[in-house]
Amino acid sequence: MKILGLLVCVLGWLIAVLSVKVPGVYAQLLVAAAGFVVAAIGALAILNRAHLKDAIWKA
Amino acid sequence: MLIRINRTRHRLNVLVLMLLAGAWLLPPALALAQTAAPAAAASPAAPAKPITTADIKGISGPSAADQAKGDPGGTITGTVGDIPVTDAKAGLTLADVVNTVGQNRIAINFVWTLVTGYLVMFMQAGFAAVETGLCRAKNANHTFMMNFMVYGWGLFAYWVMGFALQQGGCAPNSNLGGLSPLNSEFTINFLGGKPWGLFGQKGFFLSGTGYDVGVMVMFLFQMVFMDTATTIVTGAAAERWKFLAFSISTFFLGAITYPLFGNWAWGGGWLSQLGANYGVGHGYCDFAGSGVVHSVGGLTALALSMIIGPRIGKYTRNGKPNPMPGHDMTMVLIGCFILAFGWFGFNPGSTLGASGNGSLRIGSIAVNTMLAGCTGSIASLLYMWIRFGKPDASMAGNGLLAGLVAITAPSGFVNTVGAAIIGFSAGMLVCLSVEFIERVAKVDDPVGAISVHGACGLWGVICVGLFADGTSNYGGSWNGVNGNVTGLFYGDPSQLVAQLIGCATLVGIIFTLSYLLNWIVDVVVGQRVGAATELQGLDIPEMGALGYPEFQLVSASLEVPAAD
Repeated sequence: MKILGLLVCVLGWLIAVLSVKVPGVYAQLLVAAAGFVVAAIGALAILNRAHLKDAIWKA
Repeated sequence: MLIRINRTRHRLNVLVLMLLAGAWLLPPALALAQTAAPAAAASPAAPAKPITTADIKGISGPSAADQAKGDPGGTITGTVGDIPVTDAKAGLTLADVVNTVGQNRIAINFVWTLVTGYLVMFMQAGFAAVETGLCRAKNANHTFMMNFMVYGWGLFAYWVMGFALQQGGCAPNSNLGGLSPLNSEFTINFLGGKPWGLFGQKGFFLSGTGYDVGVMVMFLFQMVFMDTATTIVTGAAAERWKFLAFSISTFFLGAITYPLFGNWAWGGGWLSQLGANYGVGHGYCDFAGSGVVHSVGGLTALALSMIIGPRIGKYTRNGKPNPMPGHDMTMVLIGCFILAFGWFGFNPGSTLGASGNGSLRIGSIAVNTMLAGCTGSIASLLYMWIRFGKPDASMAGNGLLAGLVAITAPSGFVNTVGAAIIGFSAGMLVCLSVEFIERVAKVDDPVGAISVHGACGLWGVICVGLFADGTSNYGGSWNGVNGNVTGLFYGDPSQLVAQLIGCATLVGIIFTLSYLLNWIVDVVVGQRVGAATELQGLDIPEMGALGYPEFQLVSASLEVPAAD
């Protein structure tokens, strides 16, 4: 799960970077914002949830 | 119960009213702020007459007798007699005058950049005070020493390789005399065959061609910025971070992680070239480092906090957070003031000069900086007052820092109304983010560094793409794109695209890289101290001495709260 979280982070970056090839500035905006959100989900949702599974306070 | 619900509803109504008022006031305020300045009065055309050496031959300075009388009014000190003459036989020539003017401009910029760099260096004291004050007394020596030694470890790593990776290909820079020796950037062709600068290759150990006066000024200024990023991390991992792991992790941040993003944004790397290569605004714009400094530090803090885990007793067995108040609120607020003072070096200093290329905008940048800090602290204070019934001191301090962090990237591109809005919104954001990080993500951050620097840093980067008013012109272009940086609210949506790509890079690449490097440190030496050490306090086991040896430390937080 941790590796998946990191991969999703990188995927988010890739989506955002590919926005430069999208025609239309508002479409670029949407794609870049989507990339940012995907990267944030990778970090805060997937990776963090994997860490919380064996959190010290659950022991 | 009913009274409580009504009170909660009342507070929500107040919050909603504040937001609505903000939304209603925003458009006219922005419109007012972008009202064009009246055109300068036309001056009568005067025939241009080239100055020659003959014209300056007749200019004489004060006599030796007059100078011997002293100069209490300051009217005869600094005249033609102070211009160095290269050939005594030929006397003063036009070349002497012109060279002196040129050197004076660079001298002004050197002094400006160095002095503002010294101010930024002093921010280390502010960070040390804030973080130590927000931690418990039993960890005071350890927390302060981490803030002290980021200066040593960070500086060393940056001198060895960090500066070269970041700025090794940043030439030219006319404000600092060209910086011609820093002329080698490693690039690859990517995404449409465009050159993507990845890292610099000149300036390792500041040796070879890096032994240059302009390069030294650049090094000092960039180094203290890097040091700010490294000191952000120590707050989030305080009270449980092994000092050896801290030392290695700080070296990695100063040598690799920070310089890479610094290169992409400021060293001529691929993010800064998004405009020139793909027509996306002016490329990624980060005037003084909301992204480069604060988000890099804040996201590294997030990665490390996940790896290292929360302090013992921070959460009950069902995940409810326990408050762990710091031991010295006065130290925290003094630290915040020191940081606000240092920010006058951070933002106005980022012009890298006070003479030429639009650098006179330093006045506007300084005012934007103080305004955003002010509105940030007001917003946090009001939020906490309304939500919890008391004006919380630590969050007012964090609100001040949040406003300053958020204005750092846009400070050179926005007007005062924009700055006030950016600061106010950051002050609100930091309160929401602290609650989210603590209650939802369940990441333990003793000082709120992830929210102040990570969340508000990203918000500051986005704000460039929203609030840049298109009036700043630093020498005619920015990142190689002619014209002024303009945000969405002033008619250019493409700048926001570049800023969002920057944010995605920070979270997607820099966070991931930080996580991997700190994971390696965790595997090799272990990031976290043992449970007994943590409960005792890190001062004696890790540092060998107490921060307050003559105090008797009595704290309920030494015991693990029972699950409820």
